[in-house]
Amino acid sequence: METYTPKERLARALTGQTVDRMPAVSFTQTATVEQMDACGSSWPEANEDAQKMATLAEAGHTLVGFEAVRVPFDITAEAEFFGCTIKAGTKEQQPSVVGHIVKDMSDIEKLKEYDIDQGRIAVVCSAIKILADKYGKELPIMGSMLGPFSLAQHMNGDEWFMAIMTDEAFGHALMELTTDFNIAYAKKMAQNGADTMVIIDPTASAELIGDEFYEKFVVPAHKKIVDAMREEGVTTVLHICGDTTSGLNLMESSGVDAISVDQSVDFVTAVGKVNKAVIVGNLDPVNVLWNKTPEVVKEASKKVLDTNSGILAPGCGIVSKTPTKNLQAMVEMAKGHTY
Amino acid sequence: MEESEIISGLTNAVVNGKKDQAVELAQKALDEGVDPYKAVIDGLAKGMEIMGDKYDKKQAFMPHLLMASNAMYGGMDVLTPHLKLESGERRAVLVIGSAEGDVHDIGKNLVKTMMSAVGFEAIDLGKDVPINSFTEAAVEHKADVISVSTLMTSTMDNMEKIVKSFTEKGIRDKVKIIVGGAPITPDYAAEIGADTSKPDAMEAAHWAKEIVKELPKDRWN
Ligand SMILES: [Zn+2]
Repeated sequence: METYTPKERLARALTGQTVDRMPAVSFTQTATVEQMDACGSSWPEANEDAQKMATLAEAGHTLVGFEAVRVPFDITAEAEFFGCTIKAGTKEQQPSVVGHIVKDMSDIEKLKEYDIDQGRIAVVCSAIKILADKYGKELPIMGSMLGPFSLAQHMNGDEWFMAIMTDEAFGHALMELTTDFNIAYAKKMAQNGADTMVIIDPTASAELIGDEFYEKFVVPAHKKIVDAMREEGVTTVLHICGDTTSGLNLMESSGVDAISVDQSVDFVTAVGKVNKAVIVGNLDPVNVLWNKTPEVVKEASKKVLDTNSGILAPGCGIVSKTPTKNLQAMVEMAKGHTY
Repeated sequence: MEESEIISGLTNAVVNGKKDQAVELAQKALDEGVDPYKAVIDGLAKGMEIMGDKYDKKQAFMPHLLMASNAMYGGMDVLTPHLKLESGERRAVLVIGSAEGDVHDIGKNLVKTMMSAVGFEAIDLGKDVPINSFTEAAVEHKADVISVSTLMTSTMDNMEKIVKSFTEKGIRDKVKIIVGGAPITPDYAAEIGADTSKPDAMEAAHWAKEIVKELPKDRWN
C-alpha cells in the first residue's frame, strides 16, 4: 500500500525524511513532441499561453506518468522580462536569448523598477495556478526559473564572465538586481501554488568560473532565494550543468534541499560529497533518454538506484524528441525502488 | 628593449590578461624588427597555451581565459597584417561556427582562440550559421579544419547536415571536421561522419594542429 501522496512523498524525500518508495519525477523540463501531439498543446504556443502551458505540463503526468506537474519548459522568460531580445522557438526547439541589455551601472539603475505581474513570467504564474487548482492536493507543483547568475549573463552577454573579475561593484549590483527579481518571481509562483522550486543556473558553475568567484557571487544569491522559499514552505532544487563534482560543497552551502547533477557527474561520487543535500539526476538526456531504448534507460537507471540514495531523474532538460516509452521506463524504475 | 624581453613580455601580457600591454608590446616588436611570426607564436600564443593548460588543471577559469584571449587578439590585431608578407608558408585555415539554431558562442570562441594560438588562421562564421555557409567558406578559403559546435540538443541534426553537405559537395576528404559542445560525444561525432570531438578547446587545438599534416598540400588545386 502506498503511504504518501506524491506531493507528500516528494516533499519528504527532498528534506531527508523516510518515504515508502522513490518519487518518479523530472526536475528539468518535461515536454516532448509526442506529448504535444497527444494533448493538442504544442510549443511555441504553450510557452505563451497559461492554459496551453498547463495542458502540456499535465501531459507529463497523465501520459508519461511523472508524479508531479512542472512549468515552464524554457529558461528565457526571465531575460525577456527585462527586455533581452529572444529568438522565437519552434515546436521542437525552445526559444533562446540573443540580445543583451546591460552594459553598465546606469543600465542596472533603469531596470530596478518593474511590475512582476507582466510578461511571460505572469503566464507561468497563471499556469501554476491552473495546475495547483486541479492537482495541488495530490501532486507536487513544480515551478522553475533561470537562476540569478545565468540571468545576469543573459543580460550582460559573455562580457559577464570578465566583469565579475574586472568590475566587482558592477558584478554585485547586477547580481543584486537579478537575485531580488528571482525572489519576487519565486514568491509569486509559491503564492500561486508552487511547492517545489527548481533554480536552473547553467553557467553558475564552479567548473567554469572557479570556487573563488562562485563563492563570492553565486552562493550568497542562491542562499537568499533558498531562505525566501523556506519561509514559504517551498523546497528548493538547484540545477547546474556540466561536471559540478568539485563544486558540490559550495552549491550545498547555499542551503538548497537538493542538487540536480547532469550526466558528466558520477552519481556515487556526488552522493559522497554532500552532507545533507539530496542528489538528483542524472540520466543522459541525449545519449540515453533520447537516442536509446527503454532497456538502456533501465540499465542506466540501475546505476543511480544502486546508490540507494537521492532521486532518479533526467540529468538536464528532456530533449523534445524523446520517446515517451523511454521516459516511462525511467518512471517505472523510480517507482519500483524502495530505499 | 631586447627581443627576448619583448617576446616574454607578450606572453606575460596574455597570461595576466592585459590587453593594453599586449598591444603596446606588439607595436614595439614591429618597431624593433622582431619577426611578427615569432612574436605571435613564441609570445602571444605561448601565453594562451599556458592559460589553456592552467584551465585544464583548474588553476584558471573562464574569466581569466577570456581576459587572456582578449589580450592575445589585441596583440594579434597589430601583428597579423605583417604576418603573411614576412613568412612564406601559408597558415592552416580553420572555418568555425555554431550550428544553425544555436545562438551560443562562448565555447566556439574559446576553440577559435586556442586554434589561433596554435597557428590557425580562423574564419569565424559566428553563431546560428546556415548549413551551407560552412562548405561555401571552406571552398573560398581553402580550409583545412572545420569546427562546428552546439550547446543545444535540438540543433544536433543540423550538425549532421553540415557534415553531409561536405560529402554532397564532394569535398569531404579535403577537410578535417571536428564537432563539439556539451551534448556531443566522440561516438556521436563518428556516427555523423565527423573526424572527432574533443572535451575542451585545448585538446581540440592540439588535435587540429597534428591532423592537418595528413592533408595533401595540393588538394584544393
Ligand atoms: Zn543542465
